[in-house]
Formats: sequence, structure tokens, C-alpha cells
Amino acid sequence: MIKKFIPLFKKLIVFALIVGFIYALAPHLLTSSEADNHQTTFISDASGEAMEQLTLAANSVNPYHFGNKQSLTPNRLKQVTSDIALPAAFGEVVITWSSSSTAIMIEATTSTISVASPNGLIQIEVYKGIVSERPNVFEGSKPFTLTAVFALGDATLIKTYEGAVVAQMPSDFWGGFVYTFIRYISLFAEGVATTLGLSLTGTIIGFIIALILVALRLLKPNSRDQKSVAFLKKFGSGFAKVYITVFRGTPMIVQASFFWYGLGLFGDALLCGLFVVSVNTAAYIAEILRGSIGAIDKGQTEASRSLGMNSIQTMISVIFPQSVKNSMPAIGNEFVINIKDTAVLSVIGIFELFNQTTKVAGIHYRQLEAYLVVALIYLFLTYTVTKILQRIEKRFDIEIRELPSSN
Amino acid sequence: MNPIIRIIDLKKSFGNNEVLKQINLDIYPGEVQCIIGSSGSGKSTLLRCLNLLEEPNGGSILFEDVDLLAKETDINLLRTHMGMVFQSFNLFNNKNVLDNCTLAPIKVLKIDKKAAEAFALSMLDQVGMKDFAYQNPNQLSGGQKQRVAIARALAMKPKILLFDEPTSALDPEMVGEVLEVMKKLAKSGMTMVVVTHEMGFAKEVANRVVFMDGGVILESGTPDEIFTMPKEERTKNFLKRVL
Ligand SMILES: Nc1ncnc2c1ncn2[C@@H]1O[C@H](COP(=O)(O)OP(=O)(O)OP(=O)(O)O)[C@@H](O)[C@H]1O
Ligand SMILES: [Mg+2]
Repeated sequence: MIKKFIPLFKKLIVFALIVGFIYALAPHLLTSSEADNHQTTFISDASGEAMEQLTLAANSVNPYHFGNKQSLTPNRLKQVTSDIALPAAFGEVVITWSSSSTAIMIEATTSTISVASPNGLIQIEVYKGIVSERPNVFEGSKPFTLTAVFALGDATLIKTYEGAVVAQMPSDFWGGFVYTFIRYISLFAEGVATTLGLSLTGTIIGFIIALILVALRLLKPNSRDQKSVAFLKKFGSGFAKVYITVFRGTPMIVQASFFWYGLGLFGDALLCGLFVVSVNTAAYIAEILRGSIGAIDKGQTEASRSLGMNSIQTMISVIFPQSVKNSMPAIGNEFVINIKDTAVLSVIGIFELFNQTTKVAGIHYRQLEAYLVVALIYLFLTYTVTKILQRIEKRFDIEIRELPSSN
Repeated sequence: MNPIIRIIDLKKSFGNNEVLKQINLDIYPGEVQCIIGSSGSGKSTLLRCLNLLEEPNGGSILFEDVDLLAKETDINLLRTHMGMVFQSFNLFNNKNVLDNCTLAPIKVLKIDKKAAEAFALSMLDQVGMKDFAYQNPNQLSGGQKQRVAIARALAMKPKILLFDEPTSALDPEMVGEVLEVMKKLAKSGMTMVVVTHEMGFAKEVANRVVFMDGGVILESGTPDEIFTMPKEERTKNFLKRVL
């Protein structure tokens, strides 16, 4: 008996190892793209008016992108890909720069560039910071610290800027593809975790709701029922019918928007998303279960009732276990469908796999590479999960049926 | 002695199809009644009306003087007193042999699991299926399944057993083992109503044989009366065909 499960366990362990490996490796492959807050330190020996001027200068001066003259905000400074420009002066204040790392080498002489300012283009003197060491894709980034000394006469103020040189995205397609995958693997991994978590939990909760739904759906008043009982049965059955029709008949993207933007359910997008997946899946699984209950021989019910079991006992002890067993492949299929369908939850701002990809695509405006990566990840997930489910089904001796998607 | 079941003017139709027309029949404790008749004459329907698997349209059924059709009657309680054995066995596919026999005793009679299992095992022993207690129904032959079905019914300690053609779905070589069990039950004094095409069994075991035709009981009597000197032409024709 145990022996039978060994190959399955092996597969599961390999799968877990791969996922764990990706997780363990991800932080080393890149610095988090969620840039830390701008870390600056001020050291000053000035006071009074000099202090005011120096502080204004320190707060106003940012390094520039040498090429496109864009001001490098703290976030952008952590994503440096090419040479930077460091202003040599701000009004009366003279600025000198030094770099802590060989990633950025600062030229000794200044050059002149024109940059945009509130008063139009202005010419400024800058030191050129040359990117002299680039990380490869696997290193992800090389951090550096720039130290700027702001001087006004004898008074000085020192400010530091944290930055990093990051690997540049290759301009060709395959290079960009590999780069996107490796560079943002932790973002994708987060997305995979959210997507798998949402769809697995949603399928399980949906299954439980479906059991209740289908029990309600099958309620039928009989001639012995009191009026009130008959009414409750009709109500329960009607409710289940309406529920199933509504949730199967409307797109999940509409449901998600309705519950999140419309009702603000749970005040938490992730919980709201889980709710939507669950209630949506419940409608589909309820229909699956109803079908498989209908396929169970009437003799099972008759035998049970003839032994004095009431309809609820019959459902719970005889009918449900058989129909659930027979429905297992179709329910597993719902899980696979959910892996794909949870992509629509990006609409309510859940960072599942698809939304993470949109984020990645937006960083470099390289949609093709990002969406090819995510397509392959989805394919890998659905294929692997399908295979695992098929193995489990085989263990439990259940007929494997290929079922069409709900979409 | 009072009859255990008294059927008075029982009527049943499916839509416009009047399947039972004014059936009157008494079943006494310890008696074995065999119902015979051609296909479609309403035998199964009559049997299924007795435990309300079919809801009659008219007349009444008294079980130990309790009116089955009265609204206040707890039909689930009454069903525990009436075991039923089906043509197609209907063992619970999701349970093994022993669990088949203990499910209702535990759930309905509220007997504790140990006691239910002990009693179920003794019933399985009675039908010669004790060694198969932990097998699944799909591992059994038809005859074995039907014997388990009988044990399952017996595990409820019923006052009467209803059989609907218990051997019709069996390969010929398995009919004997099931009939043996039924004969043993009859000898032990169990009250039984048996719809059957096994005329040999009816002749040997029945106290009374009931011949149904077109939804009515055409005639009834001892096996001798029915098999050797039937009064009705249709009974004679039927017997000519099946004997
Ligand atoms: N659930 C049902 N719905 C409609 N008609 C039914 C139903 N059950 C039985 N009938 C009809 O009632 C009639 C009597 O059926 P019944 O099963 O009682 O006959 P039977 O004597 O048991 O026959 P057999 O020897 O073939 O089992 C038949 O005409 C049958 O078609
Ligand atoms: Mg029949």
C-alpha cells in the first residue's frame, strides 16, 4: 500500500524542491525592485543662514541621467543602467562628489549639460559618473553610495545617496526574455504563490459551498411535509438555482469588480478575491456534483431509504461520498481552470501572477518578453498540476476524464 | 392472530396507467407469501408500496394496526421494521460489506459501533459471508452480493422481509445459494413477502401463493391450491408458460 505512493511522493518532493529552490535563490538574484526609502544622512558644521542655504541645496540636488537628463529620484537611482551626471554647484554652493564603489567612477573634470527646470532649460556644470562595472543578470545589481559635500565658504554639509547599477535589459528578444525571467524571478514567484494559493484555497472553499448548494438544490417537498417545511425546501432549492445561474452566467471579472469596487467586501482585495473565486467555483462544482448525483443508481437511494435512513442521512452517508468520488477529476479540473481564471483578479489589484507580469512589463516597456514568460509559467503550472492530479486520481482508482474549460 | 400487514383497497397509478386496482391482502406473522404473475402485473409496485418507496393513491396499509399513510406516521421508523431485498442488490458502493450492514443500525437505530459490528458479523455468518466482511461490493459475485444484502436487511432486526425477485439478476449457478439462505430464514420463522419467478421455491417454501394479473390479485391460496388446481383461466395459462 505505502509502496504504491512512493513514486507520487518522489514527484511531489521534486516539485517542492524546485519551488523552494526558486524561493531560496530569488533574493540573491536581484535586489528587490521595491526600492527602499531614500536614505540620506546629513552631517553639517554650518549654522544660521549658511545652514539654510546648504540644506536647500542638499534637498534640491539629485543626480541626473547623463543621457536623457532625467532627474534620478531615489527609486530611479537604484535602477541605474547608464552614466549619471552629478551637479557641481547649486547657486553659491559648491558640490564635490565621491563614490564608494567601483560601479560608479566619478570624472575629475566637469562637463556642461542642459536640464529641464521650472524656469525652462538651464545649463549646469556636472561631474560625470561613469558606470564602470556592470552586474551580470545573475548578480542583478551592484550597490554604490554617493557622498556629496556641499560647501559654502567654510561651512559644509555632507549628504549620501544610495544607489545601484543594475543589469541592462538586452535589446534582442531572447536576451530580453531570459533577462526578464531571471531578473524578476522573485516577482514571478510571488505571483505564482498568490495564484496557486488563491486557486487552491478557492477550489477547496468552493467545494464546501458546493456541497451545501447541491444539497439545497436537490430539496424537494413531498406530500408528508408540513406547509412550512415544504416552503423552506422550495426556498432553499430556488435559492441554489438562482445562485448557480447567476454565478455561472456572469463573468468573474464582473463579479470581482462588483464585490470589490461596488461593495468593498472585507476591505481587503486579496480576501475579496478569494471570496469571488470561491463563490464562483462553488457554482460550477455544484453543477458537477448535481450531474454526478443524477448518475448514481436510484437503487442506492432506495436501499438506504428502505433501511429507515432519512433523506439527509442518505445524502450524507451514501450519495455524496459516491458522487464526490466520481466528480474528483472534474473538481480537479476546476482547480486547473482557476489557476488560469484568477488572472482576472488583477482587475481588483491583487498581485497574482498576471498582475505581477504587467508590473514587470511596465518596468522596461517590453511586453512581448514579459507575457511570453508568464504564458510559459502558466503552462508549466497547469500542466504540472494536471499531471499531479492524474496521478492522485490513478492512485484512487478514479477514471480520468478530460473536461472542457468553464470559459 | 392479527395480521402484521393489512392491505385494504390499495390503488396506485403512474399517470393514467392504473397499476394497482383495489388490492386487498393480509400478511400474518411467520408467514411466507409468494407473489407471482406475469411481467408488468404490478408485483414490484405492490411490494414497494408496502414500505412507501411508491406512494399509493388510495386505500390503506396497516402495519401492526398503524396506518402507514397517515400524516403523523413516522415512516422512517416503520421502514426499520421492514427489510427490503432488491433484484439488483443495491449494496452501497462506497462501503465495504461490514459497513453496508452497520450503517443503518448505527445511524438509525443508534446502536453503538461495536455492538452493531458484532451483530452484523453474526448476520453475515448466517448468510455465509462472514469471511468477506472487509471486502468491497465490487469484489463479490452476484450471489454473494445478494446474500450480503439479506444480511444488511437482517441487521436491522426487521419484523418482515420484502424480496423483489431476489434471484432474477443472478447467473443460474448462483440462484441456489440465495434461495438456500431464504429457506433457512423462512424456517427460522421470519415473515416474508417474496415476489419471485422461482416456482420451485414458491411450491416448497410458501404458506400462501398470490397470483397477480393486470393490477389485481386474481387468486391466492396454498401452493397446492394454486399450482395443482388453479381456478382462473389466466392463472392456468401463466403456470403453463413458466412451469
Ligand atoms: N416509476 C414508474 N413510473 C411509471 N410507470 C411505472 C413505474 N414503475 C412501474 N411502472 C409501470 O407499472 C406497471 C407495473 O410495473 P411493476 O414493476 O410493478 O410490474 P412487475 O409485476 O414487477 O413486473 P416484472 O415482473 O417485470 O418486474 C408496468 O406497466 C410499469 O411500466
Ligand atoms: Mg418487478
